[in-house]
Amino acid sequence: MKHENKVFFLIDVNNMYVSCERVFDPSLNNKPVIVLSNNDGCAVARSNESKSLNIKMGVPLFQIKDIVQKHNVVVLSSNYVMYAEMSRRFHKILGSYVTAEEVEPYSIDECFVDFTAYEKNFDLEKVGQEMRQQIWKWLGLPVCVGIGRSKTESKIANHIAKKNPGFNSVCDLVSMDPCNKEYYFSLIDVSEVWGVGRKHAKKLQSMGINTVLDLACAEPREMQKKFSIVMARTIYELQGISCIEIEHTPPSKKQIVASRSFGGRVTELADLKEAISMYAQDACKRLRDEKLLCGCMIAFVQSNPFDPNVPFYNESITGSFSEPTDCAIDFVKAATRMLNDIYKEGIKYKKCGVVLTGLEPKSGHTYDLLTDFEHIEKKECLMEAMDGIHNKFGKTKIGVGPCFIPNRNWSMSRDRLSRNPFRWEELLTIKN
Amino acid sequence: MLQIQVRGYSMSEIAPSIIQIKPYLTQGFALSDVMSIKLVVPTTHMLVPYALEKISAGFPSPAQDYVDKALDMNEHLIKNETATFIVKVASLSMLNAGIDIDDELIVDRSLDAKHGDIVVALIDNDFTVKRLMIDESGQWLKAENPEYKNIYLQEGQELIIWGVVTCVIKMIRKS
Repeated sequence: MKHENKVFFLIDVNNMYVSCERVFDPSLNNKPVIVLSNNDGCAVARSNESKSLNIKMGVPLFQIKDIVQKHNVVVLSSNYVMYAEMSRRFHKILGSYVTAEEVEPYSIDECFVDFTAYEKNFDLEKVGQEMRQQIWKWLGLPVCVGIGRSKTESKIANHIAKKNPGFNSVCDLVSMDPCNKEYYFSLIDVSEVWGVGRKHAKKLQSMGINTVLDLACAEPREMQKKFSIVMARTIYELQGISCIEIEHTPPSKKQIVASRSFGGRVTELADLKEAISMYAQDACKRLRDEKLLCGCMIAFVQSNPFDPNVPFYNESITGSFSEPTDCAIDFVKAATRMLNDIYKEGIKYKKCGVVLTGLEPKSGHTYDLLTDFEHIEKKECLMEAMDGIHNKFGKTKIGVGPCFIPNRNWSMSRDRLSRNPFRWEELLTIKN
Repeated sequence: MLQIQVRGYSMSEIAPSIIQIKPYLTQGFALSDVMSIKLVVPTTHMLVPYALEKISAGFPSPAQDYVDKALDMNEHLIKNETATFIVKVASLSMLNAGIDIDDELIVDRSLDAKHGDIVVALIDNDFTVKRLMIDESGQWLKAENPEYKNIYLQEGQELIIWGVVTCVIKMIRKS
């Protein structure tokens, strides 16, 4: 379905994690700040001050130690629980502008809004400014707003708003003069276009398509032959013809991954088994939340890929269940058994985890003739009881194995974790 | 616990699971009267019921007839959930306004602060809770405790209102 007169907003929180931290700790304002991934490994969010120190996205902390020390960069662990609550409020505010069918929370810090139905009654740029100001006042989060005739165009508009302070954080491509639009498109690298990956960008560049403008001027049908229908759609979208609708229900999951790296190095099989049993239970919880069954599981272990002194050890193994399951005990049993096969002595393990695949909706599953229903029912009763306890008392109160006992050898380290101001025990404290 | 809802609906709308309670139904209900069977899951939410009308002493009617709605503390204390934050106080500067150490404040960021509001504010990126005063000289922050100084802005200092305090939660019985 192609539409020429749609209007999309893309609203995006600037440096989301750092901005969230600053709401509750304003002493971080105007300072270089980075937020680290789980286990304090890599920089996953950077304040503008850190970006201008040339700290790149995803760089491991040990590689930037000198910059951090020299410029007093504030280093924080990621406080995902807090970011998630701020994200919920961010999406809720945007949801108040349109109906539920017209808003798509795209990620923790990005949201699409389909504003087509209201275009005639409003000045689009004004609406964008209103959204920006409301989110700033209510939540203290700075955002940029991009407005375009398609989702892809609204993404580019957002990019323009971010890079050019003159726009005051809101860029409306719908009412922009076409000449100006071409000018801005000619300044942006083609790899910035939504849906164009690094791989495609290389191929495009080899064809002489370097900027967004070059791509927007390409012939969609010819490009479809050289790439795929997706590329043709992207080109239409850049030309202001909407091909990608707002998605209300995210397509059902193809796989669930639960893994984390360890706080310290782990060498013992028993420790690995404890860790993987926790990740198996995390994965199981998500599987049950989505009302899916899992037919196949992959278990994997890894050593530290950044350690130049020892070869990288990375092993995985796949196993399938005789009957698709959503029972934590099955997953823990399988994961610990699979670990026996991929464990090698003398390795310093940095990470392990499980991947659940072969997923299908629980409601649609047809059991075969020989299924022992009594057994399945028993397991379901047990899992329901466990879910009930988790909902009431938190997910670490009961589990399979000793994995929820705190401070295990493999527990995650988050030394620089800020407080969670949405818990009674950790409220923001006003000292003056 | 099974709850059975009885309504006058036709056979076609009956779920197959109803067959299991057939013996019960034959005791008095026609099968077609049952609309649905719902599992009732007891929850832990504490609701405080209150009477809509006063009941005069000796009136025979049971109190339940007057109970219509339960008290919801969130609804009572928080007008705009999305913009509301709760903070804890560690200062005596607002003691005479009834704000003590360890009290919790409900702060609504969506409100526009006006003269006389108690606000959580930022001065030089430091949090403070004070009464906002707006007069001909501009904005200043008033402490509600003679032992604390009011805050008047110095050259180059900026006052940022973080949020307006709407409520104080004070635990009276210390545990």
